[in-house]
Amino acid sequence: MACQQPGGIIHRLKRRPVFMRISVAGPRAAAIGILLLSTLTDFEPAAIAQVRRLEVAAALDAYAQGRYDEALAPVRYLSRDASRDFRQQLVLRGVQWVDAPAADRPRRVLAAAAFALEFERMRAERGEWQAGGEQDCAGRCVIEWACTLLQSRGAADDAEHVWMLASMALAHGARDWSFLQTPIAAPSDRTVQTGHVHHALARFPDDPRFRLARAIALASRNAVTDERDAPRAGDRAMPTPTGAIVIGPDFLNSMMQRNRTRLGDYVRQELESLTADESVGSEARVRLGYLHWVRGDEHDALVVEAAAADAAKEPDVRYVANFLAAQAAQALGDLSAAETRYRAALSARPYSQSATLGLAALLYLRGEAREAYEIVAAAQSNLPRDDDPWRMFLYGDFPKLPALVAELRKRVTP
Amino acid sequence: MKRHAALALACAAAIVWSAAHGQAQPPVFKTGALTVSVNAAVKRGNRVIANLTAKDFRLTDNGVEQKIEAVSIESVPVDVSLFLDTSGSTAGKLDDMKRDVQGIVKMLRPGDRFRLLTIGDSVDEPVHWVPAGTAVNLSFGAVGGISLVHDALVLALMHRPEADRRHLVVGMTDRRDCGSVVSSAQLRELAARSEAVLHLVDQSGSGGDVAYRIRTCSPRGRVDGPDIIADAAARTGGMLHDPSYFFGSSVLRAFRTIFEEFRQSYVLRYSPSGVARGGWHAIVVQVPSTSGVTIRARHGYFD
Repeated sequence: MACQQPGGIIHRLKRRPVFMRISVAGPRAAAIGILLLSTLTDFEPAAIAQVRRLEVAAALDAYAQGRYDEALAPVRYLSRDASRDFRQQLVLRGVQWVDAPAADRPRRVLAAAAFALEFERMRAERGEWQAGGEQDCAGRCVIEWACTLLQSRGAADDAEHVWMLASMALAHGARDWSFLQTPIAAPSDRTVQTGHVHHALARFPDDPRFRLARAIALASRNAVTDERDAPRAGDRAMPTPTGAIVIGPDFLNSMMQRNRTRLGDYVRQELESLTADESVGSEARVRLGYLHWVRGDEHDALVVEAAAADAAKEPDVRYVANFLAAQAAQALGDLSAAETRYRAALSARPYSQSATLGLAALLYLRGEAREAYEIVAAAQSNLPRDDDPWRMFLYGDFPKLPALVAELRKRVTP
Repeated sequence: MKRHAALALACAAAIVWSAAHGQAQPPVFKTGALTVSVNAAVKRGNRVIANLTAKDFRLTDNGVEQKIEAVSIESVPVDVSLFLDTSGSTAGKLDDMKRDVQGIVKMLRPGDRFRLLTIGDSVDEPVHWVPAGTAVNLSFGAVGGISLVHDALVLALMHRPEADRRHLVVGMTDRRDCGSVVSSAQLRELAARSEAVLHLVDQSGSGGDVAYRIRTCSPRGRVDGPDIIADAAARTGGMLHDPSYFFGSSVLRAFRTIFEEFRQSYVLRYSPSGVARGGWHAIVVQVPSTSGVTIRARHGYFD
């Protein structure tokens, strides 16, 4: 499977919506299309000036030679319009740059794809993963362009694997689940499953990391639970007349609930099948417990997270598993078990704030104010410099992105 | 009689033995007189009612009238915890907030202390406790998506000031929580037991451009969360303030009003009598001698 969605990628430009279909002929066709497109699109003078200052070829040269800061520093200062125009230039001139000395093409393709990924990472952190909602595809289009480019190198290799992992991590950070997997629903005979994670799985069949990334996308917020969307009790007051077929909120809610249940069950099976895998098993267990937790299955959540915590070797995984076990135990009213699990989490990651607060609130409400005060004060004085693993847990592989980018750079300039 | 004496001796010996060998948890007894302090702000309209004495107040503890031992408008120093909601939903006011924080620090009096809490990927403390008058360096930014309002307020409330100090918590927030560990229900319960007074200044509708939108929250929210947070403030004797009252929603003006009122509030002290120790004690404060006044005081305490 190529990196485009079925039927090709649709680029939509903000000021003048123009639809362009990129055929499976590859990036050359894309470049020609965008060249035509750029002649139709009126650039803002200021944006042109900024793009000129940030020459695509010069940036790619610097990046390919390992001068990463020089290549990427100007990206930070691009305006929103300028970055959109730079994306066009990247896709247009990037292809020419890649082909300049044919002998070095595979490495230059990797450099261009890695640069595109780092560019979109920086723009995503400025809120431009999806620049203008439906009308602009921004980050996801560039990533798909780079994905196609990368595949033109030939057989899948280790460098492509790292790039795919990094692009998943970026999409997790942007929480663009539909980019990774469309539709966000359990597979059925009537739907075609597509999305970036399927491109990765086509290149690396059954890769457990990509399967887990897909499960994370499917288990995204609101996809498997309607807790936030649930109508208030009063909203359901209107009775349905006997014998009438009414397509109303109740009908739609029940249909959505059924779909969520089916999806949740499917994700559970996927995660269960990954728990035995050596590379992703421990994380899959924690995510399985989390799935139970968000679905309101506190008992199963506690059992799974407790087992995950006891088996985990990595401190961060042990922390999150114990933290979630504590939350589940608390919801079940077992405050003693909750306290034990909070303390276990803090022994894996001392002073981390989420477990500190959970434990302190529990102790305080149980009347043990003195210790609650003490542990909060100690944690505030010794707050770890790195991110709280629980806070990062909700962003899937995003916390791995810096390490993956570092790996990618090693392959660009060995 | 001899049999009873022998039994008592055996029990005593057993207690001594077990205490010596550490094999039993010693029983916990609550001893000594308990003194309860209650902040009470008494106003008619926007005007603080001054010069009240113990005789003017009526206070009940679990329905039993108590003898108020002391009433004072405290001149004791204040520990001020200021929480600025720096989540994306209030980011439009960030520059104003920073400017106003400097003004707040200048407003404090000798002996007072100040700290600042903000929201990032966790609850941050960009300014740890500093004495009044200290120049503070503010370099925090807004974080979109995540909004740890409950966690920040709990962190703020979980500070026990030294015996001769009072603790005022002021939160500038739109009360929209996203991703906190502490639930809104827990926050409300916790506030009820807190010794601090919590005031909130509503910052709803002050959203703006956020430079960093890659974050978001966990799936456990409550639609009535903002109301619960307001109720939490009321349970401490504080309240939710409408920013329009402060002519332009200035943090500085809001804080000045709250701070002055807090300093002019009465502190009622009493030793509970005629009520069973332990558990929740509901407090009701009234001023029967003066009509048309509003009184804000904590709703109770846990013994």
